[in-house]
Amino acid sequence: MTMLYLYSIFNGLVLGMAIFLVSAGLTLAFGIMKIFNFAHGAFFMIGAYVAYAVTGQEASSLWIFLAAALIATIVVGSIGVLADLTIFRRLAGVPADYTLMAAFGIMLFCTGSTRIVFGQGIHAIYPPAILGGIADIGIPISYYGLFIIACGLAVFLMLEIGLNRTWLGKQILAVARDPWMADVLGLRVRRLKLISVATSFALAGLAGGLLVANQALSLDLGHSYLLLAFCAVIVGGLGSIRGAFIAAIIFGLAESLNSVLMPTMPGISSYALLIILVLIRPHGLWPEQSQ
Amino acid sequence: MLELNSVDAFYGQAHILHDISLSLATGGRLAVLGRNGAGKSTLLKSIMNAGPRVRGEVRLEGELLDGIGASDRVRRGLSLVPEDRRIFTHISVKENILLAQQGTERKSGLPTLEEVIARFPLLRDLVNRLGGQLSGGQQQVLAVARAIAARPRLMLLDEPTEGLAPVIVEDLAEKIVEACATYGIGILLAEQNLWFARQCTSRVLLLDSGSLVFSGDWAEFDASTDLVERYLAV
Repeated sequence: MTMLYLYSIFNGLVLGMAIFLVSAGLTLAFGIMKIFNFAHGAFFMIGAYVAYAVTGQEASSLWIFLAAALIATIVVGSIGVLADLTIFRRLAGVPADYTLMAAFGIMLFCTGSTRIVFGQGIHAIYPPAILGGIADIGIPISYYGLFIIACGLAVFLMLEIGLNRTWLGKQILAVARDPWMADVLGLRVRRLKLISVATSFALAGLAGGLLVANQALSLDLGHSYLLLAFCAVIVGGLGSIRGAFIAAIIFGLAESLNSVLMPTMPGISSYALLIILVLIRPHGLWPEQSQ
Repeated sequence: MLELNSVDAFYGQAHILHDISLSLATGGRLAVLGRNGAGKSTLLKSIMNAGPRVRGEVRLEGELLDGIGASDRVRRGLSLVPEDRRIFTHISVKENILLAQQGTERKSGLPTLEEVIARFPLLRDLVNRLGGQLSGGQQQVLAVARAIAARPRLMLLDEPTEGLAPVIVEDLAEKIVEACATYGIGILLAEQNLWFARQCTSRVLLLDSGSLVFSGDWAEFDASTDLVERYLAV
């Protein structure tokens, strides 16, 4: 029984990191642009398809797999820049419901475009052989699961250091916290926002490229993660990278343990947690400061 | 250096400033007095293009600033110290100052961090402290130091004494005058503290309900005995 729980905790950590990989760009977009980007799941899905286009059903090596994820990052980041320049930037200052509708429209457009390019089929994608094995240390630990945990930690550290320790990151946070004062000090607010938007969308592409393996790749891929990613962003504290990281792990563990403890009620613990945590900490587990 | 011709300012449909004209020579120091709601802050923000919709001419060094955003006005030599300080709380005192200098995009002619700190000794032991860990008075001094560090041609100060202890007010007036004289910075000061305004400026404008009701030097202001009672008394 203990082994079953340990196995479940490992799977929960893997799922938690996967949720974080998807939610990182989402929370960054909210922190900087103050929009809830409902199209994020669609961009995640595009990232997965781009990676699939590079590797096929199975990447021949880890390097090809990583290169495909990098290409997905660049492609989706570029599409994000385009979306910002043509749509989101024009909606700055208008009520949030217009932005939500625009994001919904972008989501439909992305899904439709992907359907035209890749078709409606479902593709089984496998990790490269080096990540396909399983280590038995009492419980079966998949190398791909360890790889996802490592990627989640790497992205978290990259964002933490990038935003809080670098000069560019500090400028981006200044714009996020007080865009008016940043403008009055002479900072290039538009440019800094564009960098943030590109990073946010690129993270969606990266998540798609890294999580595509061991998935049934279809047009619905985004939906499977987006709900939990939204939960992590809300519970973590809107715009907070640290909050999203902690919340993603909590939701990953809850989902995984739920499948062991209450297999007939899948997902119930995540919804219960969402309600309880929002009631206890309405501003999030690690709320982002604002001026 | 600064010239306003028939400037009107609006927030939405609300007409805040009415037909304001003024001029300020290079290095000049001008106080803008008036009760709460007279339009002092709106005047400063209109010059900076940082909020109100503006109609009329705003010129700096003869250049019409029509359509030029706040950040580009910084690069042309304007700097605003807002009423609510708006220090960035997630970065240090030093980084707040460096951020302002970066905004100017000037390669030379800016005071070094050490020079700025030397002018505002209150900040000496706080250089590495986060903006959010400063008291209100310390934040105000930093807001002024940040603006001076950018070495603007004209510094727009919006009620810098609000909420400050008298001893800090006295010190701040002295530091502002010294620094502006050294770096050739002009001052446009919106203020309700008459003592502070006198220390920092040589001329006075009086606003009432968004309109200019007096313009002159301090001697003329003092000679018009009813001005304070009519336009500044609570």
